[in-house]
Amino acid sequence: MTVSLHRRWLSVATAAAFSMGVVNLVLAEDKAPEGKEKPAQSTLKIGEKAPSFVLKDTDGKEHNLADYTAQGKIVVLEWFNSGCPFIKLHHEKQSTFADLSKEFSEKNVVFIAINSTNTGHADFGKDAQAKTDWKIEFPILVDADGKVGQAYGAKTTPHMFVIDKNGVLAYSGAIDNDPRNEKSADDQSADGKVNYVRTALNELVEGKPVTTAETKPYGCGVKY
Amino acid sequence: MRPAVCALLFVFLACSTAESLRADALESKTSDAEFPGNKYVKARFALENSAIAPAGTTNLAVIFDILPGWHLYWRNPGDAGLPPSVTFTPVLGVKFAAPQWPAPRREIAAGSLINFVYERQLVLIFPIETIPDWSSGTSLKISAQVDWMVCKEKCIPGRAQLTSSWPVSAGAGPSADADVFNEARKRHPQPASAETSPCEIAWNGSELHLGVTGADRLAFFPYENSPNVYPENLLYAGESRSGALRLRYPADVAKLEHVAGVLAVTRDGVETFHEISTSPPSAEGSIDPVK
Repeated sequence: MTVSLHRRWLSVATAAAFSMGVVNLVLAEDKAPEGKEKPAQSTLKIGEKAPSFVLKDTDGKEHNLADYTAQGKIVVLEWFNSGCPFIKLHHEKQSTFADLSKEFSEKNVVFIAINSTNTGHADFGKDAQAKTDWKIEFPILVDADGKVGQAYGAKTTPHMFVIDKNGVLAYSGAIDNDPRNEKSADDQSADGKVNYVRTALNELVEGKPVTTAETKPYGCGVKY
Repeated sequence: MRPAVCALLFVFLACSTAESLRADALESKTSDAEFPGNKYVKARFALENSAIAPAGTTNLAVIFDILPGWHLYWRNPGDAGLPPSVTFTPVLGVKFAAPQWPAPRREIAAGSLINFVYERQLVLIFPIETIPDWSSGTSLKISAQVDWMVCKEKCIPGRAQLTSSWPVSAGAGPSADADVFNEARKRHPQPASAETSPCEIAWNGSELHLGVTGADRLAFFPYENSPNVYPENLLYAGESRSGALRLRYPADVAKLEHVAGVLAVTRDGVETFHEISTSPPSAEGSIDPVK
């Protein structure tokens, strides 16, 4: 998508106004601080078509979301940055993503990591190393100008998005309810560990609606 | 990972005066390799009085000194980050109340993320209540595991095991740290029920209007993080250079039961903080300004 920021802001505002059913009169008050250009803010909502993208992975191979949807795949996106302790928590300390991708490998689910870290940041360019070190078996796509991240409204690493086989956003938010890694998966009470993505995937695979479609993600900020 | 008993690791912490803290100094094994965030934050206990009251409330604080340029997070960290956590080892006869969070500051990161942060120093006050089971003259040992995520351009985890003993005695005077407590209280929000609250609160559909007559600047810090209870326009409209703030919540107001947070008000160069607690009008109810 190569629309200018101005056009994008207009289309976002129109979409917001349409979906709210009221004319967006408060636009004038949402002024960015002087001198700062306001970045495109995603208004992507559950139930809407997931923004399309074509991005290269660490081997230079291109991945097009539309291709996966055409194949009837459920797509799980993980916003990624190997320098973030929360990413380390799930790739190094726990095998959250390895386990998940293995569990759903025969169920038409595709896992994709996306890194929107800007090229000037100290964390940039470390994906190939992470893939090797952590034995990640799914592609890590490079979104260095942050356009795809902004289109999805990705705020943290990790920030999870689950797209159903029709290309519609079915889940957005945290990987689980346990940012401090202090809960137990064996605990079936309200205090137990819940992996929101696993739950959503199980429901989608069974053709059921996703009960918890949106949670607030936790993690480090995406380094746009 | 909540240890039921003190972990094996202790960290020696420098103290500013002999009176305020007597830490057990044992060999440090909270490895900086595992907790690199220890380089940027030093945590210590402080007591407001020179002794703990044998019956009643005494104020204990965890003081975080943060290297310039780095920050810790508020109880609601905002879009990213994680607030520090303090887990006390249980002590018979002692109740540890929830921490009193001073008002944070807004930080806009990467152009589109809003976080609520502390720089330089965070003083987290924990009122502790002792039941009248203690006789004057005994001492009380308190231990806690303190975890934090300290960030600059990267976020780094830190951990400290704090332990201190204080005498238990009635009528103790202020400690050398008492000023730190008083300073911290300047940023505690006044309760929503306060008679003197200057805040005007009104709902217009799914829009919350907050107003303070004569204010030059307002900033709103919501307590809750979940998507339903989060204004859509918090990034820029969560702060205003006037006495009025308009927060737009998701149009599905039925899901929004309650909004709570802290309003920072600047008037005549003075900043004050006020708790906001309000519910949008019910589906069949009328839209009345709620004070």
